[in-house]
Amino acid sequence: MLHFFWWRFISLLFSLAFASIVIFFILDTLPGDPAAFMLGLNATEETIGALREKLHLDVSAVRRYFIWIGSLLTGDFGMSHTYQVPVWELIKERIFVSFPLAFYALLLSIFIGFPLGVLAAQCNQTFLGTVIIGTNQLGVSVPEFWFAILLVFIFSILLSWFPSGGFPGWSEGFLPVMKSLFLPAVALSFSRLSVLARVVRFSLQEAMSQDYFRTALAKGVPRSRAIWYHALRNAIIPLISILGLQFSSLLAGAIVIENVFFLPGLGRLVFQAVTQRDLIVVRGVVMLITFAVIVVTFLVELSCAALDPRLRKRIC
Amino acid sequence: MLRPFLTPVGNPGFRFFSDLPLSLLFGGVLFLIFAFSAFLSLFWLPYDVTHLEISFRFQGPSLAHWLGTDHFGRDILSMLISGASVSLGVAVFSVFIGVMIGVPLGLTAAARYHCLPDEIIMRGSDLMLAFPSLVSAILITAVFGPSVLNSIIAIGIFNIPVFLRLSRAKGLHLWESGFVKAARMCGKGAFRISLEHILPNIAPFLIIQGTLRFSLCILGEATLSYLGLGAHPPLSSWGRMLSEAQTFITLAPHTAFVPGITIVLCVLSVNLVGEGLRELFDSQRVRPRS
Amino acid sequence: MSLSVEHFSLSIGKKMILQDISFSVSPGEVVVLVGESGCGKSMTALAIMRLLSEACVETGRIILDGNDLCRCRDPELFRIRGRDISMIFQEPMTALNPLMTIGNQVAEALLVHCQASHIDALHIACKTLAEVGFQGASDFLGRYPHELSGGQRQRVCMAMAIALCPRFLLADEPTTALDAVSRLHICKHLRALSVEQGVGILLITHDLGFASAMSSDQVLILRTDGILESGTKQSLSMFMHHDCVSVSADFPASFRSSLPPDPSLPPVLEVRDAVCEYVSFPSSSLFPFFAVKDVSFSIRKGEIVALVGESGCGKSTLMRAILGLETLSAGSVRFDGAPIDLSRRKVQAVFQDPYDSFNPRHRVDRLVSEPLFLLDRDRSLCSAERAILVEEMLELVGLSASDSRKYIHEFSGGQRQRISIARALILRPLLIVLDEATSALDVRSRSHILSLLSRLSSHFSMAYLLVSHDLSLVSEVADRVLVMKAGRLVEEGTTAQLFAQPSHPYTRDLLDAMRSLDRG
Repeated sequence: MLHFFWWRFISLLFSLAFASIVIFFILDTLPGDPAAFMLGLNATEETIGALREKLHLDVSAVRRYFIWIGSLLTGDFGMSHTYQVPVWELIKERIFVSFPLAFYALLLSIFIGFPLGVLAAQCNQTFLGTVIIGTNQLGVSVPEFWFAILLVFIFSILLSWFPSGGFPGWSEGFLPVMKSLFLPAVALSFSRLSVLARVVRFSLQEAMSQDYFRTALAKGVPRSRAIWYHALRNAIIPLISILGLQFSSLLAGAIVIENVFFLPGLGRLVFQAVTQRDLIVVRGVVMLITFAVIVVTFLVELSCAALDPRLRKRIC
Repeated sequence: MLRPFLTPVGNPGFRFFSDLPLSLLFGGVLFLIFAFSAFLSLFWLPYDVTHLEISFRFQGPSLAHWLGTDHFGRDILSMLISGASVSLGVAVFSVFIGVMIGVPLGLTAAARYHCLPDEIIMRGSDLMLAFPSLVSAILITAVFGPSVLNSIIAIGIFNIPVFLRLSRAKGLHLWESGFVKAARMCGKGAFRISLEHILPNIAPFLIIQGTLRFSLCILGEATLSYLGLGAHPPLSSWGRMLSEAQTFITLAPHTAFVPGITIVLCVLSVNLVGEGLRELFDSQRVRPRS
Repeated sequence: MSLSVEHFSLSIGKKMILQDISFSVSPGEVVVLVGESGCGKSMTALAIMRLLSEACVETGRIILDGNDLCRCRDPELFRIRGRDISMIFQEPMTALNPLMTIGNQVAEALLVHCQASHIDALHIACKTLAEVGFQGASDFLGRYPHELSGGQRQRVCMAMAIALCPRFLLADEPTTALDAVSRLHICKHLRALSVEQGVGILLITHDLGFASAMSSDQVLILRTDGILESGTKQSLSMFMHHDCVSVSADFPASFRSSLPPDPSLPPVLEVRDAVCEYVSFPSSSLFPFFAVKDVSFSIRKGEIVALVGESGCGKSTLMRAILGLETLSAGSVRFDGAPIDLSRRKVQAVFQDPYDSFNPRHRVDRLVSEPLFLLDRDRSLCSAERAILVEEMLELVGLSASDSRKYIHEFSGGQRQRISIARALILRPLLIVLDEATSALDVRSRSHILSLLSRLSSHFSMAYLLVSHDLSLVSEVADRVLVMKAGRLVEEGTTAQLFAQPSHPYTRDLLDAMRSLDRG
């Protein structure tokens, strides 16, 4: 297991290095001169020249990459061009919105999607099963942002149970924050919990049709115990990968929801930066998100290996 | 192993309509309606969607305007019909991009399993999956400007690794089978085997995945155009209709409900078709050994 | 005190699987249930365990201690399963939960039934594992199923089934996937259970040698139409010799080539110092694994050579290397003096699994004529010529010319193997490699295929390379035998010589196991 850990860890470092190269060079070599691009059409030669210097555009691209990596490692993401504050400051503020939101939505989708999937797997062909499957089908068909608009319309405008948007800040205390994040989290989790329930249902049914499940029943293991100890343990492995993917997609994928609810999150930051052509912010945030995705993938691989002895052996 | 799908001659007891799964029939009919109206919009629309009539704004459903009018007095039904062509067109082409690039790469990786081409292709696809897709799509459309073509590219690129992985995984399985061994012993090369033996046998999986991705692409297009990065006027699009309606939701809720329900129905119909196809292929797959 | 099945019928959809069958098993008795594959033998056992899927419709009664199991509710069944009746399944590779240690899996039955503490249960599990023949069973408790061989896994399954000393044991083809040595082990142990502990055993098998070795009291023969016929031990041998035909009964004496092959002729196939190594990246790259190491042998025209060895000994890798499907790390394989790339036309193969040997999307004529791709372009045939050739081949292997327009799923396993042979024959190769070509078939189609092969061999004077783990088949068929173990050829000799005086200890083990099973 230790061997496996180190092997995956080295692979993680390689992926990070590779991802940073790709991100850097895609944004660096995009359309022509990044400085002119960032400043837009009506920029003077002087301001462009000043920005070029700030972006180290006068040295070679490879050196520029190492300068960027070096400053990243010391925690310096550069200076935002439009806000004129360090990018890290911007990110730090937003992370305290995006991370809790992602976590919130993930918890909702696990605690609702997982039992629904288990239930649907067992009441296959019954009325309840059909209802669950139908709801899931609807869940993956509804556009996230429209569902969010509906939620706002019903629960904020008609019923005024929840605020229709905005973020009170953590200084206001825990409860108001949870309240303001509730509708966004519900909107984010609806499609995700449907996907989750579907995966749970499929992999649980798959596991229950396996020979080892029959063997367990033949030993006299009660059905509930057989499902819990034998089928679920096997079914949970594909599930963990799905959860990993969902968490990373939640970090940045909340752009639309953050837009609907006017939440100052990472997604909204990157969206605004893109429309304002602030490449420094875009680069920093994309790198951060990719970093998170790669780390989560690493954790997912580790936990799969911890659960499945075959994986440990195969890879190392 | 899969049977030849859409039964060949000699399989008894297959009557075409009565044996089709219900979800396939229902979803298929619904989808055909959407497809037909998308096609129709290329030639004819009930009202001109570029014509603004502020005096008719926010009308409810009536005989003249079946689904009412929006904040510029445009006919919502006409906008929906013309938006269908954009939505379905973007979805078709972005799935097409994914299939045309992903499947050949996946087949190559499967044919060269554990060799250098396989490693390169797989690492590349892993990296693509590590990028947050929505962020990258926004990046692409923002840098190159919002247009239909750019949203096709932005959405289509992320279909590539999906089809790549699927065709590689299913292909690898088939490369182990006896009939591929037999073909190799007949001196057939990897390219020929991929075309003759692998591709036809993974086609059902590709079709199912294709429909599922198709529905996700419709959602993706709606999201991009909601953010203002999709098709721009004079083309109408479902996502932009929603973003405009959001402002007036208290004044005229129907302007926000109708396009949303349309998207849901369209995506649902495609999903039902996918689900039905899966059922159909599964029912024709018979385990040889009891 | 016995387990009895009374007037039991079973159907799935419109298909009748079992029709009004009745039998009973008393404690200490061994009842053998034989029948061809697909006749519903396994269904019978699953019905007794109440583990059938919901799609099955059943009538009749299954009675244990005056209780009708068909009417029992779930909690009662959970108490009965494992404690009163338990079952050993056919497929040891998938019957164990891959995520649980085998100790826990064996102990689970005890935990569920006896409310034993976990440590006690593991203790008993360890004892049971030792009973079924694990040396140093305590080391095995913490292992996972994927670390064990097929024979070991089957023994774990057996330990699971007998951990609570059930009164009845249903064994569903417990030995099909195993080599001769493990088969003997399982067989001995089952016999001991019935004699010493008075366990009533229902043994389901299509392995007649195994059935007769179990010295059963009662034999049931399940016909393909779902009707059960009963008999005694004598009727089993009747069944073997008349109805299903044992391998040797129908076997033409002419199969073995009559003359010793002329040593002056150049060999058809010559393998010299073949080495196949697998380097698994990254950790074991320092210690490459040799699937095949320094193997040399040759086959002459018209000769029938068998390659035997347990599963995982490298015989499949060697076969793939001969067929040019795998590259050798060192050494050479030559046909008539030429490497495989230039002589593909001279060698063809028939593979083990008749169900995945054909592309399901092509018709039989296209499947059979596929090797014609190897012909030079100037010699290629027009479609009419192809059709004639295909029909000729189909008739040669005992199918009709009209079959050429059908798809492969319309054929049974035996017929598929015939089509496979037709495909191999169409280019008139010098050598046909038979990779366990008959092991997936039932006894009847097996003997038909073998007599077909013998006819063809004398007709075309082809050489066969027979890859198999079935020694009784090899002893009937082959001129010469190669024995392989751990990637090396350990012994080589003519069949008579090798079976009479095996020199290598491994060959001796194999032969002993085979003989004691045959003798019964």
